[in-house]
Amino acid sequence: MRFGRPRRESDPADDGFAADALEHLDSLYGTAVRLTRSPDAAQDLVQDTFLKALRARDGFTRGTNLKAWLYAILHNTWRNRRRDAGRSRVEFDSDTVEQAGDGAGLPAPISESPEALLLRATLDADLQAALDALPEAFREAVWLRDVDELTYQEIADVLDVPIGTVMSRISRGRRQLYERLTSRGKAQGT
Amino acid sequence: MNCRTIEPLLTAYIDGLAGPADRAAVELHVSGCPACQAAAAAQRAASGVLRARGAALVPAAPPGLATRLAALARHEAAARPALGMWGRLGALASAAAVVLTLGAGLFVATSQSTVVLAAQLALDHVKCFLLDGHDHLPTKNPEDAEAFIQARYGWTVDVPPSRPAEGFRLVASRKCLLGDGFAAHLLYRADGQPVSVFILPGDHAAHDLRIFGAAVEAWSANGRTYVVVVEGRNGNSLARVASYVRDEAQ
Repeated sequence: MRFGRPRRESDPADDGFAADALEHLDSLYGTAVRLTRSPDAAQDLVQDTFLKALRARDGFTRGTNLKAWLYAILHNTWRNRRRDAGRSRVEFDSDTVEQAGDGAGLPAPISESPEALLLRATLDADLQAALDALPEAFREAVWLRDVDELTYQEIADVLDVPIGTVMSRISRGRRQLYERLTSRGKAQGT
Repeated sequence: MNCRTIEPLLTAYIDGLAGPADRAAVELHVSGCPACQAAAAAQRAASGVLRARGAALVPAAPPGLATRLAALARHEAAARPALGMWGRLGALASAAAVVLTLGAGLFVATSQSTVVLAAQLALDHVKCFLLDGHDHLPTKNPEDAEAFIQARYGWTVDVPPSRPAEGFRLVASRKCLLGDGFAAHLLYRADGQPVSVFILPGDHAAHDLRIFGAAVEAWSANGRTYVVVVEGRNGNSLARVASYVRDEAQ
């Protein structure tokens, strides 16, 4: 019984795409950890994302934002998984969440400077806790804008929502984050 | 302009991306509205904190992950020219459409679709040979694999043994995570090339096809479905392996 020849070990089609994609590994993994809240599930999500990216690479336009493109695959994979798993996180797309920022009312007039707030949040754990407490839809929109510095259109593509929804989620997400940071600081008496 | 109409403009205003007209409108309104003034300040402060501190919260990816992904990339790069010979675009488009849009769970809902099944298993074959070595149970003896399947699934199956003289070796067994681990996965190598044998409960229509850069043959026997996945487009290799597995597994 013969099973054919061994595969060649050469690397004929390496055009640098994989290396470029791996540049964003930490960002992808960090996003996956935020979404799955599990290091193991995050690794699995990143692996799926990477494999899909390699196979869909012809759909990537050189010169556009590779990180945003990879994020779109990762978020899409995550949405599919969550839907398939039957865990209905209703808050993600519902009007309830889009309106969630309204019920709490506008923040009280500012009593401390942004610099003071920044000092408060210097403890990574505090900032992390405040982020973790945000609804995912808000947190991801804000993160993509303020940390990853994606454009509104890129964020709309990643999250698969209209650009107006992106603006609204960023606005509400930032304000909720502010409220959580300030209330946390006050609660701790720092 | 009132608070409702200003609110959607605030984000771009804070980010310095509002056009001149929007910017003027926001500034006019905010100057006379303490509530929107507070909202704008809160947005600016939160944005500033995240810009300054957010990146520090990103955990470094585990070193093993980068290694596995690099191995996967090499494998994919080597597979691309072979794919091209039999229509890379068509195969990729159909396989990607099936797998990317359906996802693993939908397979369970449409378990009659052998094409979806084959696409999922072909993907899992690649993933677990190259990526997920941590859950492999190294297995040389078919008896060990049979005991594993008996213990895990309660199935009595004959696991095809290695044929060292012919370059066919049993390498490992594992629980395939697809569809909540309902499939047993046997990993072989044939002349060094990865070969997967999946064993699933129930009857699925017999099928063979090429999908996702892999050749797949599936058939049912004794109330179970066997799926053999071979890398690349070597149909001859697949036929030989499938024939051997079919004989041994009866």
